[in-house]
Amino acid sequence: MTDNLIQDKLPFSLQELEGMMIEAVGKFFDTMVGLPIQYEGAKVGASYDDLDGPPPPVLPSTQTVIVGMVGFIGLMSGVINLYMEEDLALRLTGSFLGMNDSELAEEGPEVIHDTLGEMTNMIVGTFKNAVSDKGFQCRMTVPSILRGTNFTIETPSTVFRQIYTFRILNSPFIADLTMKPGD
Amino acid sequence: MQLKILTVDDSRAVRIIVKKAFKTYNVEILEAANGVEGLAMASKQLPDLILLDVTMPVMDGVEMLTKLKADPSLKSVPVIMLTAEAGREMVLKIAKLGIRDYIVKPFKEDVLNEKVGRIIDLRPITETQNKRKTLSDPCEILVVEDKPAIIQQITTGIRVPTWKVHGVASTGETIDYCQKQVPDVIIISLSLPDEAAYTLFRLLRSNMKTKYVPVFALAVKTDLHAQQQAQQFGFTSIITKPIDYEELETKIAKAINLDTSERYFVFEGEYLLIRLPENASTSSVNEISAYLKPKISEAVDQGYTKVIFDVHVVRNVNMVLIKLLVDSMTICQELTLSYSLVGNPQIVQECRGFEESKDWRFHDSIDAAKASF
Repeated sequence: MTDNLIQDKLPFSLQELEGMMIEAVGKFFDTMVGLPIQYEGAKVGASYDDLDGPPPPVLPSTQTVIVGMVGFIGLMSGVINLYMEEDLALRLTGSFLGMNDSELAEEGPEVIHDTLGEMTNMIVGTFKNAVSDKGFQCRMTVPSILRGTNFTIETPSTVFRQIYTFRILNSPFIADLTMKPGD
Repeated sequence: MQLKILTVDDSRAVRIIVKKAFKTYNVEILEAANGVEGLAMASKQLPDLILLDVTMPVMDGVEMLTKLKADPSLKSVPVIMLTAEAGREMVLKIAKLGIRDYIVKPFKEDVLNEKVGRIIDLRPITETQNKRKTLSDPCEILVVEDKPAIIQQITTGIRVPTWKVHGVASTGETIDYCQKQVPDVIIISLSLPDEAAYTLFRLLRSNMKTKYVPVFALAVKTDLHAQQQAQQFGFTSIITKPIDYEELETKIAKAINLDTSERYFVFEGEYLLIRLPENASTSSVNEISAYLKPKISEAVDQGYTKVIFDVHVVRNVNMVLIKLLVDSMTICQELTLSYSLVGNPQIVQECRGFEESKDWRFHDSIDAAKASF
């Protein structure tokens, strides 16, 4: 997708959006987890405009995949889905809360979901704040968590979509952005 | 009194992180998952500070803040917003309602501690709640001095085996060291170039980690001007060169609220032995006086009935020492404890020179004192 096409749909360039996403993800991991994260690039054609039939899963894996989802609504609306495998989700939760495996087990699965929700909230918050600072005021929705294997989240082709791949602790961490000007 | 911080956030993870951030401070963390719970908790507990999220179910942070400010009993409780919402419009809206500060998630623990520490008097838990440290506990002394010979002298001069001296030569090295490990005491030489001692003192006092660490000034004995200036600046204490290590140890012990009673009070068999030091200076006598009543009470509580005052190593008898012994004997009499004195011929002779002690009877050894009961 070219910059011109993007600008038909959004008042941002691809580079701007990419920079905002790298900043949001990087800031979270640096500040709250204390782990470096590598950016591997945006998925070309991630809007799936040109695909025939249903798109493949964003994160194909034999493991359970967990997705943290937070939306933003206002002059610009959208949603960011953060995909990670279950093993990575557990390790990130432990690092985020400063807890070892047995302490996490004591807390129960609810705290893992809550942490992933908060992680998504913080990353989307930084991204949304950058959007708001460019003059497009918006507010965030409450986070939700999706778990499963071999699933696809589809979006209408009229909405801009871009998938940014990162790598942390030797595992993929994917930020899936869909965005459109608000109504 | 333990301060209370109320964290109102629908995310349990954030509440866990807030709790973790303050675990080394003497504060109680109260939790609420939404604005309704937050208001109820605030009314019941009257916290000293509230950390408030914006986006929450049931009642959001903006509504809670509005209701809080409308309640005469709660409107003065300072509020820090802790939220991922940092859009200009939202910040302005909340600022108008009256908040003390704003922290945007993601946030560093240090930033949270520092901003909270600007509003309430955060004190490390070690100062208030932990078991009082004794001479057997480790103590880290950081000496900031650009002359290695002085650092070496202090290292060898400190006699308490569990106390460790670490030397650094500059402000930068001090800050780096304190980032990694907060020392128990910092000694700064006032002779560092460019008045660096005062700049460093200010930096240490403005940092949450070192805000309450005792900071001593090291000055030449004859440089009264520097000593006065350091005192006015707020240094915890002044140490003069040449250093009297006994005095230094006493000052360190006092500054870090160390229990040094084991130096003077020993429970031995059926006796409480009170050992007076070689140099019965005013500071060491004051130190012993502070332990006197609690230690003798402890002895009574444990069933001891006999006390021996061992004065035989004391170099010179002076009025402060005589007063200490008179007070001690009075306490023993009040509690019907038997007591006995151990001294040497010189002590006996010197005691005869004071009205209060002229009739005291001394034994020449502890065994003789024990046998006398």
